[in-house]
Amino acid sequence: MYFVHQVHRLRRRDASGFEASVRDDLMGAIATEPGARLIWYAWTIDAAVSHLEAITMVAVEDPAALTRLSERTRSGDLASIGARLDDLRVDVQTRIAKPLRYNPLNPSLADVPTTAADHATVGYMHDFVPPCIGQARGYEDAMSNIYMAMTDTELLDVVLWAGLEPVAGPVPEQMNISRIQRTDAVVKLITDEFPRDIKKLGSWMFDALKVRDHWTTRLARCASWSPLY
Amino acid sequence: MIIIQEIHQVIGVQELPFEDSYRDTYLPAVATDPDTRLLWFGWAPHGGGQGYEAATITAARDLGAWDRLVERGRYGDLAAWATSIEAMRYSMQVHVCEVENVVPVDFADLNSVPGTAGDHAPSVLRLDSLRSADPRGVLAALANAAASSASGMLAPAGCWASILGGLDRAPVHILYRIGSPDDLRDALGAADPLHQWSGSLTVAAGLDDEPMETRLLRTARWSPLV
Repeated sequence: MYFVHQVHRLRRRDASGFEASVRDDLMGAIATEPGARLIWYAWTIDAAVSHLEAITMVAVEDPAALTRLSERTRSGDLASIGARLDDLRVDVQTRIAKPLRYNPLNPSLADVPTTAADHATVGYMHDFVPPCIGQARGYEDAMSNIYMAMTDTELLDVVLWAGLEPVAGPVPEQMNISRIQRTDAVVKLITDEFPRDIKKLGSWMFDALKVRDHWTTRLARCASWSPLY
Repeated sequence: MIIIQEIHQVIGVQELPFEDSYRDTYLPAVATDPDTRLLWFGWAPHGGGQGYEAATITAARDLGAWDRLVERGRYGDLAAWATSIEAMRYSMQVHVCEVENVVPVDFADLNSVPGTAGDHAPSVLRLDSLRSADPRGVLAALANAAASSASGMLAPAGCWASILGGLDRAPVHILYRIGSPDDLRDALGAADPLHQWSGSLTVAAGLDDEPMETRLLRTARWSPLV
């Protein structure tokens, strides 16, 4: 499966129009062909590193479905919707990603809603993580063997929802999207200083520095109609 | 008053030595000049920005004082320290700014800013950066907003802009203090993804249409100002 992941930079005056176009036009149009679905729509929140941004994700079943989506967006029925969305945004950054071994997000595309239905919104930490040079697989191994073995409590109830690797995009990196189960958890992360003991040899915080020591976290919240959340 | 705003991308394993070096060497050394003070040292918190990003905000009374500090770091008594700190980071972005008369600041008297490490609970700051081709217009709008808007969870602590004014496209920066964890919890938990935090001068001034960069920062326990 592929995930077409896009970060759309917007002016506030265009925010509701952009969201409406994705919800009312793009979501249904993509679903008229099998093998591709809009699965996620989120906003970076006020105080995120970059604001205002919409984040969209389209799941695509296989190379044949990606070929169809490509043809439709370049010269088919999705071209005009794409042009309209482009008129509404300042910039867009697109990645085509594949699942990492530890990725929990594996939707059955036939079951993904294709019309908008209201639900509660959910907060996320959305991370782009460029592994240390030469450590792309090392980072994946560490995430699979150590991070994913940690309990929700150890992870402060910020629980991985998707672990993806862009195979086309601006820089070599990996992408983790985590659901914030309790707002208190993220408040604690922001307000509390980590004890220095937690950064010693043998701790995840320290040992993971061998495979990555940089990331960009966007605090985000899904729209109330996002197909998956 | 000049503000030297430095954003450091720190090598992960150097996180603690980097902070310790600023506390033990830079903080007291800067204070030996009566016209310069380190004001804030903060980290982008895990979960809220760039990993291992530190921000240091230093004040200099004027550009002469700034130049003395620069030369101390290049060839003077801080040169060896500057070389060692350079080895602890991947990159650094520096903005040299003038404090703007938008909101009152509590470091106008540099002698009142501690030059030795204290110990206090960390606080959370938010640093907003707005780019505009018309920084004077932006600053006037922010000053009007500051004079007329109600207080909120964001309490302005200072506003500064590039010393090169309209010759530059560098951003205008606004630093806020965030009132309490309860305010933060309410804001982060707001069901509306487009909810805007109260007290923002940018919103009050009607300047929130354009995309903006924001940094959440958690101050170190020894940061001179919180």
